[in-house]
Amino acid sequence: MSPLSSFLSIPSFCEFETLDSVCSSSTWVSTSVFLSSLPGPLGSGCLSLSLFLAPPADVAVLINIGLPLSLHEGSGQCFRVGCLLPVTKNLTSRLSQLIELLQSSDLHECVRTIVTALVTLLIGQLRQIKDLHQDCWKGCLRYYPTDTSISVKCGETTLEYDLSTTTNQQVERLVQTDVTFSAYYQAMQAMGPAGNGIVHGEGPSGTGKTETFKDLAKELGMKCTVIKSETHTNS
Amino acid sequence: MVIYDEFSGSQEQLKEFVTKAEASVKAKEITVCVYTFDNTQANIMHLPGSAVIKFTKPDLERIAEVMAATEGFSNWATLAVETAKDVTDVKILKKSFVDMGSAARASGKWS
Repeated sequence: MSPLSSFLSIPSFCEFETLDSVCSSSTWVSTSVFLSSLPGPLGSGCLSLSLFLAPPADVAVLINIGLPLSLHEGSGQCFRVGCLLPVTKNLTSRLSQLIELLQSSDLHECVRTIVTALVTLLIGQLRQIKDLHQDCWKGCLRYYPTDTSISVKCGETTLEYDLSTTTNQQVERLVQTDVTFSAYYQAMQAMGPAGNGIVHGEGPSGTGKTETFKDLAKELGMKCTVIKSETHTNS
Repeated sequence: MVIYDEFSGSQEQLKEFVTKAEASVKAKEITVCVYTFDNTQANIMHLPGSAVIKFTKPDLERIAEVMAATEGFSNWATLAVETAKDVTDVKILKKSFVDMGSAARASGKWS
C-alpha cells in the first residue's frame, strides 16, 4: 500500500454522518476547495477538501480526498462534530499526516503537488477557524450542493460552480492571507447583481495579484484566461 | 475569468480591452485588470463603478509557515519564524525552504 493510499484509508474522525443529513441542515455554510482531477496513481477522482462551518457552535467537516467529485450525490464521507475544538484537532491531525507524506523522497511529483496544495489550504482553513470573528470569514466561499450542481455563495453573490472545468486545472495554490479573502469578497461582489463584472487589482510586484485571481477562478470552477496586455498574447 | 495582466496602456486602451473581454466571456464571468502601478496611476485607469482591490506587501511569516509545512517540516510554525525573521523577499524565502526540504529528503533527517 502506498503512503497515500494508507493515508486515505485512515478513519481518523469519530462521528460519521451521511452527506444528506448535513445538507438538510438549514444553517450550515462552508468553505471548500475543489482541486483538479488526479492523473497517474490516484486515478481519475477529483480532489476536494471542504470545511463546513456554522458558527459559532455547530460544525461539520467534510474531507474528500481522491474520491470522484459527486457531492450532490451524497457519496462523500461527512464528519460532524459539535464544536470548533475537535475540528481544529482533526484538521491538525490530518495536516500532520499530510506533512509526513511530503517527507517521502519517492513521492510521485504529481502527488507531491496535490498534497502540497492540500497542506497550503488546510493551514488556511485552520486560520479561518481561529479567526472566525475576523473579516477573512466574510471572504470565504461557501458551497451548497443543489439537486444537479453546486452553488457558490459569498456576500450577496451566488454563482453556479462549473463542474465541467474541474478537470485539468492546475492545483498549485497561493498561500492564503487576509488579502486573499478580501480580494475574493470584493471580486465576488463585482460578479454579483450589484457589480459590473470588472475588478481592478493593484499593488507592488510580488504581492500575488495575478495568482490570487487565478486561484479564485479555480475555486469557482471557472476557466481562466490570462492576457498579457502589454504584448497582447494569451497564456 | 479573463485577466488582463500588467496593463499599462491608456484609459482608452483599457476600455478597448475590457470591451473585448466583456464580449468574450459569459455574463456571469468577470474581467480582471492587474496593475503594478502606484495608486495615482491606477486611479486614472479605473473604469467607473468597478471594484478596486489593493494588494499590499505579503505576510512573510504566514507564507513561511505554509512553505515550511509544504516542504515536509513537522515543526513548521517554529521553523517559519526562525527562517523568516531575516528575510524580506518572498522568492528568497521560498528558495530557503525548498533547499532545506530537498536536503532533508535526501538525508532523511527532519527537524
